[in-house]
Amino acid sequence: MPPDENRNARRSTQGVLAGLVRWLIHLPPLAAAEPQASTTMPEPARLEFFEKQVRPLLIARCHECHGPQQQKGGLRLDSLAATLAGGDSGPAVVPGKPDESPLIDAVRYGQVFQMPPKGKLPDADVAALVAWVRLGAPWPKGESGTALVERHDAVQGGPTFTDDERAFWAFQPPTNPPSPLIKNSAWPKNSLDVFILAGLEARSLSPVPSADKRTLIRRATYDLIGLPPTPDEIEAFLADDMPDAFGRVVDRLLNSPHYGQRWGRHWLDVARYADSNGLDENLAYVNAYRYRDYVVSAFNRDLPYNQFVIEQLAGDLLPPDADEAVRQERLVATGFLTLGAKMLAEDDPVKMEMDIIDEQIDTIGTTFMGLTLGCARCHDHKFDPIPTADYYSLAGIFKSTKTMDNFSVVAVWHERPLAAPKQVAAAEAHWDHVARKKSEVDDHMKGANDAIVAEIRRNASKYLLAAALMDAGQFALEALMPTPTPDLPAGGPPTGAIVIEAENFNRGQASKLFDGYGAGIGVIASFGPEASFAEYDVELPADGLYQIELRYAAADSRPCGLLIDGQWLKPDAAKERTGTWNPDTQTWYAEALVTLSAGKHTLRLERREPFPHLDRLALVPRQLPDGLDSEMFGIQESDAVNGRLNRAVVDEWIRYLARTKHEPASAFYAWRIWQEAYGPSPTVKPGKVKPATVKFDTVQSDAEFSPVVALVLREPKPISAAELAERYGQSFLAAENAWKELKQSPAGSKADKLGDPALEALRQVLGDPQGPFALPAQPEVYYAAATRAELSRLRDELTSLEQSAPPPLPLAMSVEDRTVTDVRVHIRGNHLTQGEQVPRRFPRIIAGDKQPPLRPSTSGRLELAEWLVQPDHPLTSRVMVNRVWRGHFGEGLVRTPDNFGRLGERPSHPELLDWLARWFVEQGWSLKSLHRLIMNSATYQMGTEYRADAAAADPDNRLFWRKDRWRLEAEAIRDAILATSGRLEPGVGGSLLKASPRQYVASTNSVDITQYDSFRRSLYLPVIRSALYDVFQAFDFAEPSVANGGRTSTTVAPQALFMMNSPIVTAESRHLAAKLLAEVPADDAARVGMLFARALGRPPSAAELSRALEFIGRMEVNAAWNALEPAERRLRAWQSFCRVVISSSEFIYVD
Amino acid sequence: MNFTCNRFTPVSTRRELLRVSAAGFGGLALAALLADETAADDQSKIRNSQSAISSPLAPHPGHFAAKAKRVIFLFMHGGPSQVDTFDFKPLLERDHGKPLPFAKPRVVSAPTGNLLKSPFSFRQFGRSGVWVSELFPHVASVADDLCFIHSMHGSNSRHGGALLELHTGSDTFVRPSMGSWITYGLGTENQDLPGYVTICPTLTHGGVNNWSSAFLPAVYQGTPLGNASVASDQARIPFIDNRETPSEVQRAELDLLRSINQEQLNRAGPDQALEGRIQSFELAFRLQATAPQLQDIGGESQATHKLYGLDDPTTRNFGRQCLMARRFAERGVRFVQVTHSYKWDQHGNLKNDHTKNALEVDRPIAGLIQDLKVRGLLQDTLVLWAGEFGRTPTAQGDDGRDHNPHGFTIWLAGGGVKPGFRLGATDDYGYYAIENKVHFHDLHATLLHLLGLDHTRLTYRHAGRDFRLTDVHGEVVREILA
Repeated sequence: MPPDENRNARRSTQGVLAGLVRWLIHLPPLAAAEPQASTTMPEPARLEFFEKQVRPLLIARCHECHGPQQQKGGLRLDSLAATLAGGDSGPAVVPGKPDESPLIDAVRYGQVFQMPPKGKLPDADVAALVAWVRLGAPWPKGESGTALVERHDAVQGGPTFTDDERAFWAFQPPTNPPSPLIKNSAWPKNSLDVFILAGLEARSLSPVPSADKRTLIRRATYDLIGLPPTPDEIEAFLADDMPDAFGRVVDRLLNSPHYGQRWGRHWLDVARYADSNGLDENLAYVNAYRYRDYVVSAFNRDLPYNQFVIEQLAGDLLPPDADEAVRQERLVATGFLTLGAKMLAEDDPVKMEMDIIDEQIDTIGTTFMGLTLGCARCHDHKFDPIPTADYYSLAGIFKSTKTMDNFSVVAVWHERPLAAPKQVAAAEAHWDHVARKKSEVDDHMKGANDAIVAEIRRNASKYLLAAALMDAGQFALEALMPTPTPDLPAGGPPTGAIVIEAENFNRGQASKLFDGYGAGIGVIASFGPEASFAEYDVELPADGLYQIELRYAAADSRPCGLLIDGQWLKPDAAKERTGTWNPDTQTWYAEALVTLSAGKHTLRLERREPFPHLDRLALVPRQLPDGLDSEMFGIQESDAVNGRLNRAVVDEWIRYLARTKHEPASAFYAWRIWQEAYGPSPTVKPGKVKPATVKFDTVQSDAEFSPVVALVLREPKPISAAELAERYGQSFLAAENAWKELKQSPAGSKADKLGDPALEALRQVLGDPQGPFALPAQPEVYYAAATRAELSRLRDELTSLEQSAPPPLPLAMSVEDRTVTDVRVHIRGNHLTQGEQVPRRFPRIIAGDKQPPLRPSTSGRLELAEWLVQPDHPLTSRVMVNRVWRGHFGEGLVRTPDNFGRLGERPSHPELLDWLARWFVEQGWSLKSLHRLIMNSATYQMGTEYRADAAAADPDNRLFWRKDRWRLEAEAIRDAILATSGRLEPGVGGSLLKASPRQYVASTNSVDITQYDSFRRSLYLPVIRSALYDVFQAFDFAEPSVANGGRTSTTVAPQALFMMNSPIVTAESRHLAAKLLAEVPADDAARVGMLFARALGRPPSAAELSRALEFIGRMEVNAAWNALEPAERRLRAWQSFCRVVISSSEFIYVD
Repeated sequence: MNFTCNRFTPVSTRRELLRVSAAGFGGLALAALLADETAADDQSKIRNSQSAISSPLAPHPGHFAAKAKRVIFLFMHGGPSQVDTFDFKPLLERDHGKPLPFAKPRVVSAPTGNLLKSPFSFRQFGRSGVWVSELFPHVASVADDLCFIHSMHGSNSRHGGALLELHTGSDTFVRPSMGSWITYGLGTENQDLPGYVTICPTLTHGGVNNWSSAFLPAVYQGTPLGNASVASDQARIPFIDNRETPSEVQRAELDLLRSINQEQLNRAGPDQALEGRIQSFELAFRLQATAPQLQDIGGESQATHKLYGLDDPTTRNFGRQCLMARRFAERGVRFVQVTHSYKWDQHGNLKNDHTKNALEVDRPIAGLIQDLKVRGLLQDTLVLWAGEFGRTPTAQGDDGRDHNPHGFTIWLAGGGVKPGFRLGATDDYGYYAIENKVHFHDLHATLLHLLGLDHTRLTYRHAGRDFRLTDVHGEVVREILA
């Protein structure tokens, strides 16, 4: 709170208290603040206070959200009972105890709540509420019975489930339904068909006839492998008259490696697969592809689905397998838990952790069970019987799982090496060694740095005095050289100054520029990343103190090292920005003071990156003011240890004193007053210089000023600046010692400040990272020669160690168990308001109230996975067979594939769903068996024929009276175009993401680094969250941030633009045209036939053929292409026709 | 405190419009299907009552009379500093270098030091006497048209979260952006153009998610013109150009395509999607013709070019974005966003970089306001100027400020808001909003209100839940309504 407001607050609080006293004036004497006492107070006065001061306030400011209409946070404040019962975070008021009442904390704008949210109440109102609570929250008795808000009590372990909730269909194990009776017994090819036919017959509908063979093979091929059938495959199938011909096509396709690419991609939709974290700082998941490859492989080898579930949730926890490859594969499988969308730049680490756990719970619920578990994070699920407590039971499992290495900004997700344990151990040993060497380097530097700081502390009084003298003597390194303007005034350099043109270096590799940046003046500069240096030999006529100045222009800061005779003078010379690189902003800057002997010296400037634009250097002779020792300004090697003052530190003191000059609270206030009164001379005594102009004698008594003033000006008063500086030095030392002592005492180990305000103020200065005792920039240049040599030796060792590192081990996004813990319920999802701790266990609506406790030694992930794939689990098998059904038919038997809860749709064929679920489990959870069953059914093989009567009775085809036509998905469209043009590279596995680990993708300059120009199958194109590939985006790719088993299919104009103008359609139609012209000799009709066969899987009709030839002929001679060669015109005409075919609805729809 | 039930139930049922061919930027007769599919959807009831409605993008009235017909959102990516622009704090100047006399937030993105006064001078402007810093002399000249909210606050202190919060209301989940909700709620007035356009949007900090329609039908997603790394005169609708195929060739291709597709439709029997697909190519062809005309600003007068700063290299890029925004708005596009991308993030070099940023946008923004006014468009166009958060009054380094979602300033102008008005306040130093606080949810509720939509009734049923732009939050900021 701003100070003024604080004062107001005090005043108004007093006002209210006075008012309260007036209310209480008629009461017997008692301590109003004691709750026990308040209960003995006469009722009427307290109630009157409530009615006049409190109730109107509650009505005006609280009831809108916490009253009869709304009860935000489950709280209402219109009756005492409701107020005492409170809301989701417990009672709002503890009578008699304002400091323990959340209501009071909220109106005080505490940490947890700030109410009212639109702005703080006036202080008087807050005080009234405080007084009311202190009085025991009086409220007229008759009103205390107002109905409470009905709400679940999450804290008590959730509601018991109602019978209705328990009876919901999706929570019953799949039944074993009898085969229904049907009339047309000739139609079914297997049991599945009987269920479908029964549904149709019940509505007096019949299935449409079977599709023709061309349609069937095109359908099955796109369905199972996501590619068009080749003309040869079509011909072979047409020629095959055996009854099981289609069954063998299905088997062939199931055995194709492309099957896993196609159906694995369906799974990746529900696994919300992506190659970046998305949401904010978007980093590459360079190892996510291993999980993708695992999924493709799992589908191709028909890994039983129950095993697939277990490996993804707990592959790392499975009992050891003899085969190392299997172990690694199972680690990769758990990438499922890690690769979700994450906000990696979340400032609140606790929130970030809970958000990541939430994402996992939510995905698992959706993916495996079709339950929206995430809804229970903040409150009991509104529609499904998932209490908040059950959510946090699951949260315990995932909090006991290590998904992240840390939760800092930007956070690091966990990865595990994919290598044999021995190899991992060897690599770890090496990195341990590196780490130890690093800490050796660090320790060495820390020791040297500590020595520098200790020196500053030891010599504080000298630094103080030197800073004052230097500052007053204008030795604050202001440039003495004139900065010429276009009409350069007379003046020139001071007497004795040595001025050197920068381009006249004796040795160096800087570029000399005489135009552009150097026009008219000549500068040195450097380009590219190469290191630059320039050395100048200088002959000095006399011993003395010299100020070194540089004249340069720089639009960006480009600090250079400044050395003399090989010794460091300054690490960051020429670091200013002048505004431009051009001569118009060339400016002199003073860089250093140094005492030099007469004779030859070498001045050197160096920088690892490009130089600023240096025009000139100068050495200007200076005179030291009295009281300063020229020895102080020797070359700065090891000043800290040689007892000389460090010039860089003096500069820092000057800057600090200037910066804090106008702050009365500054520890150096007394010092400033002294300087103003008596100047910087160390020996001048008070009284000699107009003391009347300063308030030196009065400052000690004013409390506004720093307590340090009294400390350093204590009697006997200092009589010279030197003495005052000495006082400061001693006082800093005292503060340092007092702090050390305090921290060593048992009582003080947790103290965060010193008791003595003066010493505490000095301690603050000592520790200020921008203060005068801070380590100077680039401290290494001030190390002693031996220290530096040792440092460089250690660094060399470190470098060679690092260079001898074994090649990096491949990594997988993977999890492992960590400290096992249960979690408290987070009331309203807020980690700041926690309720009861709940044990790790599974949702009770399915697993029951009595569950054996999970072992305390593991997270419980394996148990969770095993529970999910119990044969009679009501959801796992149903949800998966429904996903497979949807993959084949475009709609599930449950049309909300990700939600089997109350808000999801009910199954259209519940018996069939159950029958399939049980059959699936009985077949050993084999997905390929399920495909065979479905595709060999009459239901699957129906045509797409339209029937008005059936459409009228069942417009959505919920009963499956025909097979629905479907539009190819984004990946299949691109793959089909490439397959048709002949350029598809069908290989399996690997990554196309051209990023280094954790590199930013779609980075802050909005340039998407990802490249999509590949002929690999679309499955392998990077999926960058929040910057999805535009072809994917145009055609309804599943949003990769959430599990999504229900891709949509929209028809929007951007898709048409894609077909008309996209580079890929342009390039592939041209390639296809060239291929047809080259490979199908002579006959245009044969070419059209080949195009139709490849693209549409059928020959053209006579009308289509003649129209095609007419179009191509017309295009070839069209005027717009007159200037082109005939061959090119012909190619373009064919390209046009190919584009039309690729753009046709028939191409991207499958019957 | 964020008591959001920001639970995005990510269980995707099929989208409501799965079977519907929302044929592009315009469409065909689908009202009945829409009504069927979204019976629980309040919005669909409105549409249902409009028998003439023929497309999900056809314009349709909201819940009540609207003050504004369209929105132009000027997004200042990075987080401009309120205390250096529009929130004048004399005490910050007085107490420069002192510690902040009250607690900093529990969660911050970086530690900051003591109070840092603004390097820019402020003075009062216009009849309203609003204080504006020297950074925005041109915007200051139209201050009497602006409606400032000084008490904005959000919940997330990082760019990614804050951008998503500003654009979608949720900082954790992928949700439809406000432009998508508005286009969903109102359709759009020009069936040959997208209803929601975003010019040079950022690909970072949530990228596409900031203009995506998430679970709303794809027809409501923002159509990007270029992105932040593309100069505004190069920004195009994706795949709008075909430099290779002469237009008469393309027309011939489309004619052939139409007959092929029509034949296939005849064979297939009634099929909404196939019909929609035929329409979508015609629409795309029309759009291809109109978009370049729209982007060709050659016909604009010299005075207009000057007004938007197109005569100056510093202001040209953003000026063109603003001029494009006016041209889109003029032609009935419902929601136009203009992004000044990721420049305002001055953790250091505040003085120079804020100066540079403001120089780039000041003239164009003032030009846009004046131009809209002269053309009579300002009265029913709502202009919103906002960053994703403000900055701390305390110093980061000695010339920088950190992110601050706890109190910052935005402004609105035009349709339905009080001109020359100021709402709310931050504390003495500009750190926390303390008076008439307005959260992003409240801003969203207010935007919808001004457009004639009740934020509690503009819902969409997805995965079994009725979603809103404002989730379970949001109150209309009635104080600023004209």
